[in-house]
Amino acid sequence: MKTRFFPLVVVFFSTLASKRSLAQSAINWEQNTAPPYWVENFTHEDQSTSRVLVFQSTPGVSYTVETSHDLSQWTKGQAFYGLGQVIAIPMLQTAAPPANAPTPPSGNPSPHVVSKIVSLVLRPTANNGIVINWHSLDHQLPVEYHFSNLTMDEAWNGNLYYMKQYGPHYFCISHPAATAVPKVNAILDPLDAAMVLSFEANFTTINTEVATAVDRARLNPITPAPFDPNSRKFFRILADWGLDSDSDLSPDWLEFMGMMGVNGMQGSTTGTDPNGNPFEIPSNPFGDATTPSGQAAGTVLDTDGDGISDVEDMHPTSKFWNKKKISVRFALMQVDVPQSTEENAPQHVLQTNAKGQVLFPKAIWQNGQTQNLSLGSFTDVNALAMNDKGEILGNATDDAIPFGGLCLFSSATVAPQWISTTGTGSNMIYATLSDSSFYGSFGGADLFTDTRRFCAAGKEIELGATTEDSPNVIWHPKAEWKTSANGQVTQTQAALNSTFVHDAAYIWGHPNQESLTTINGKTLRDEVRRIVKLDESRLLAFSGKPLIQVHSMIDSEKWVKESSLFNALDASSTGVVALFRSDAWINYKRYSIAHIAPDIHNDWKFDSDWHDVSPKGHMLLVKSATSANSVTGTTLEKAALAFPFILEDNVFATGVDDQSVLTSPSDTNENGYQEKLWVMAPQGTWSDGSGTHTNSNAFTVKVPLDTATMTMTMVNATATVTSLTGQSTALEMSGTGSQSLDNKITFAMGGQDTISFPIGVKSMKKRTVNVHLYRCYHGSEATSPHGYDFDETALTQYLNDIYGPQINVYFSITSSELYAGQNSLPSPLYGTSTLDGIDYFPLSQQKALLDVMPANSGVDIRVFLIGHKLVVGQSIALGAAPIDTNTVILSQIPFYENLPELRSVLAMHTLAHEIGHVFLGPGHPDEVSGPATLPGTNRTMRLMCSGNGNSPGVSRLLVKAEWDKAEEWLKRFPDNRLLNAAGND
Amino acid sequence: MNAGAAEMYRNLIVNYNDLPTVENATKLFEGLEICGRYVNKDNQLNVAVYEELKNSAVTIPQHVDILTGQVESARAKLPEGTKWHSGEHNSFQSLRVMIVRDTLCHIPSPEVVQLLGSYLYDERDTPPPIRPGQDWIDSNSNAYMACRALQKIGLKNSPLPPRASENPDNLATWKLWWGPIKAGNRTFSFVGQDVEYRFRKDGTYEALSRDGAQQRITKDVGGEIDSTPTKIGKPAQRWLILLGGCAALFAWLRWQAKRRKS
Repeated sequence: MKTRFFPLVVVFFSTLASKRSLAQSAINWEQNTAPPYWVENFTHEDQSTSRVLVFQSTPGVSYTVETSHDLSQWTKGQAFYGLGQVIAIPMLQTAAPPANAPTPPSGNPSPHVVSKIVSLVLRPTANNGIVINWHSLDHQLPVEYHFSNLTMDEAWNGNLYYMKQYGPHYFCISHPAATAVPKVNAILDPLDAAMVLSFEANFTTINTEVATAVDRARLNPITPAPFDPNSRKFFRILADWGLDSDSDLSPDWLEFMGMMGVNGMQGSTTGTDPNGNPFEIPSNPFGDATTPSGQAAGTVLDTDGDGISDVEDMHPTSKFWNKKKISVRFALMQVDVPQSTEENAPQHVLQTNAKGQVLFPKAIWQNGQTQNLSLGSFTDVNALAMNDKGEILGNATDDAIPFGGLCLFSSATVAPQWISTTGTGSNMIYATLSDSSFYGSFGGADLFTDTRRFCAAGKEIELGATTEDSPNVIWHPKAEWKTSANGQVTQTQAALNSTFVHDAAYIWGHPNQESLTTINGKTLRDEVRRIVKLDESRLLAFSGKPLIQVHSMIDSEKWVKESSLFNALDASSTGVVALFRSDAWINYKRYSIAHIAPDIHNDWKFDSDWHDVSPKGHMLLVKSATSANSVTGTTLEKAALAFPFILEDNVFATGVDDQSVLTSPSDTNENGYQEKLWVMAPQGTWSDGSGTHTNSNAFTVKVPLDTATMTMTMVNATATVTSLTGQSTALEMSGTGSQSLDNKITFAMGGQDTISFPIGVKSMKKRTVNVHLYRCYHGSEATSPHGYDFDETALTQYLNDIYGPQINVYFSITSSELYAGQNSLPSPLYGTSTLDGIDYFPLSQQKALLDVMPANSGVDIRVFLIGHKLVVGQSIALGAAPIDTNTVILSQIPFYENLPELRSVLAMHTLAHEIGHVFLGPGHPDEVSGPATLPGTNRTMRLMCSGNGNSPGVSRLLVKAEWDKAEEWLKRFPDNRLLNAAGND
Repeated sequence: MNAGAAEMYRNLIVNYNDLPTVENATKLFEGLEICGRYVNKDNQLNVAVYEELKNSAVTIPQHVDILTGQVESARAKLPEGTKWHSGEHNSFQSLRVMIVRDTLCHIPSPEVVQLLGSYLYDERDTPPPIRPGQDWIDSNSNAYMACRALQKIGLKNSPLPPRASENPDNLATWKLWWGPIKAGNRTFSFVGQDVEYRFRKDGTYEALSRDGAQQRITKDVGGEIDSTPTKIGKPAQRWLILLGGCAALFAWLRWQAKRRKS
């Protein structure tokens, strides 16, 4: 019979599965155990047969078929996702009969030939004859017959039996080791006679076959046939209980259990949304259940599809504002407004630019200093505009030409040059300022671009003409000027029509007579006085007429009115800062100056107006002083420039809190809101083989200073770099002193301190927290009942990595074992409750447990590793912290038993979170509880996020309010332990 | 305990004696709570300092008012509608537990016993039911904190040991104990003191030397003192006491008999 192996084909017995519910079927829910299995034989329609391995799958567990020919090398085959169905794996098939097998002839069936079994005893005689004995086929009596002419081959000596059919007789011959004495043959009956004839006729063949068989056995030891690797095959099924399809840290099988209510498990996860409303999410292994806001469980909600999660998106429902909320605070530098000495030339603030300069008509403020513009050979110059390169467009007068002309400063300290070009013949055309050349609200960088483009009239004058020659000038009413190839603004284009609208590169334009402005091929029925290009695809158009409106365009689709920016003056090209007269617009919200410039001097809190914003976010603030200028009689103007500060941690969650500024201050100030950005400067030292090193945290300060320099000083910390320049500065900061202290960084430029303080420094004392792990042996377990033996070195490192950089806490971990019934401990150690045959540790027992457990001297936090799952309320928790007991109870980790690395991380992270409850008390920020709820921020990155969103790789951040709260605990316990330590420990 | 720590603690006493303000009293109480938390009975200096702090705390007039004032003023400062588990509420709870459970237990005075007795009925801070997903256990109400404090304060003949659990049975036991004490029907005393205290109906108390107490009680039996035996403990405990007494009597009789034989 020929056998062959099936290709691996799986038969899903869907009908079987459908006849019984998943919950009712004999599903094996005991994780990490083999599924119930058996072997079945099937006969197919073509009469082939299959031997099939059948097993019952568990919902949420994945199974992989592996095969091997030698039990050492395994080949992965198909994988199946268990849904409770019965899975059949064909292993062996017998082939169907050949299709061309001979078929019986048609007509009457042939007579059935019945074989006659004849049992013979065969013996030799002394004279080489043989004798056979049998029971008569005719009358059943013994019969003997002698063949004198037949001789037995010697091979019969090694062969005692022979069976074969010859004709109608099936001879079963036995050969006892004895000889026979021949007798005279009797007359045989017919059937016996026929048999003897047949025997005699075939005996030669019989002899030969016996000889051949014996020869093969005796002379040719059996040589194994060449091994055919395909001649045998082993099967095995690997079950993976660690699948977590929706990455919610709850394995699929457990969510199936919840969904189906197995063992009394709850079928949902409950919580509270950011507004405090309770919600319930049904368990779903595939995460297609949704939150109250419509978010698929286990996914990040991105309503506008701009690639930024809603909670981090500055505008969750607008694809145009595809920026993350920016954590920015401003340091205000007071700008010295130069006092005019001329009655008709009052000094007033014109603008700022991307270099953080502030322009006045005759002076510029930069790097903390105000200096006059160079006059060069001109008799007078009044600056008009400045681009982001620091080049200045001015209006100059000189004796050389009979009218005022425009000049260019390549920088504030370089003498200006006329802006002119060659006209007809030897004439020169000079750019001139005229009322019709500058359109109403245009000014500053709107007027004069980085490529030195601007609009101005031109006057042509004969070369060598003098003041007296002025009647000869030729008027060029409107012209566009731009830089030449060599960088000089000396070239005019053809005179422009009264309508000119330019592309975004030119950034401004003017409507035609029909009041239409066309930009990027799209018409905007407004005068556009300014265009802000946020990136290649996004434009903001600021209009002046008929209303002060802002329109946005993305991907050249159409202009959309931005109602939130109605009356906005300007915006930075980063797209996250815009200006209104009295508010700044950041992260799609309007804020007062006091909100974004922490601790701003009272003089600037009120009655000041925003004036200008640079592409990089510098904001110019102006206010009128009360006294008048004694020389000019004009009202004094005061100015301040706000520099935007952003902090960037070198590694996430290592001592920078830039989240607490993102929320809004609450009425009770209990939501964790911070006015400032915060860094933690760790005090103390650490040692390794190379010596002792100062503790420090590394981060980057981002502030657009360009070539300016800003210094910083702190009273409670030191930094590797204290002089900031360029666009960002990386540094490391260390705490000083012996006690923790909060303070601010004072920034200064040009010897002058800022009048607001964007960054705070918490200098934190270094502390060691002693943690003792108690492994609780509840019964007679041989191995750790907790199910996960902490590697104390790895655990220490994990906790240190989270808490060290953020609150300067390092851990010393010890452990011991507690056995039921020993050392006055009860037996069992604690009460359990049984639910559907599974024992749990009900949290109601925790106080009783703690009362009988030891409290080692010198320990700050006790951690009890118990051998049961924790039930809190009606759900399972991995750990729990009884408040005000400095204790953590960690349950048996019921997940990832096949994924030890993941299980290890989950266990360590759970302990880190529970220790957070010891430090910080009850509450989870995402459930709007605890010391820093920070509404409107991404709370999944917080260490104290609840299990409904907490992920070991992501949820690590502690924020300033938590630093402070932790310090209260640290002062009360580790500090006081040390105070009392000598002689006690 | 090192000498520096001892000096720091003793300075708290000196500071209060020099300037007996509420602030200095509060600092002394805080020092007592810390010292008491880590007290090592094998360390003479530690024990001495602890006793000094304790004795000083007991003698501070209005010590109960100062401590309860801290708790109640913190409670009053909570904005209306403050939610459980908010940062403010957590801070209040920690302060409450620190004072009621962890500080009062170190001040063995009749005033404190009276306060703890009243707290046995204070259920204001009973925590809300545990919610699914909650991974912490809130501190119990003052009723249970008072049980803890009474167990540790050093009462002679305390009905429950210092580490008895927080549970309704034990709370009931303490209420049973407190009933006759509050009514003045029973006296109580602290370990290491030869003084017994008895509350009057008006809430004041009288301190009686042990001999005097015998006399006074004898004198007042026919008066306002209820002579009905007070049952302490649960029925099972009472049976144990009775059986224990019988066993002791039996043993004593047997010993006497043997002695006579010999």
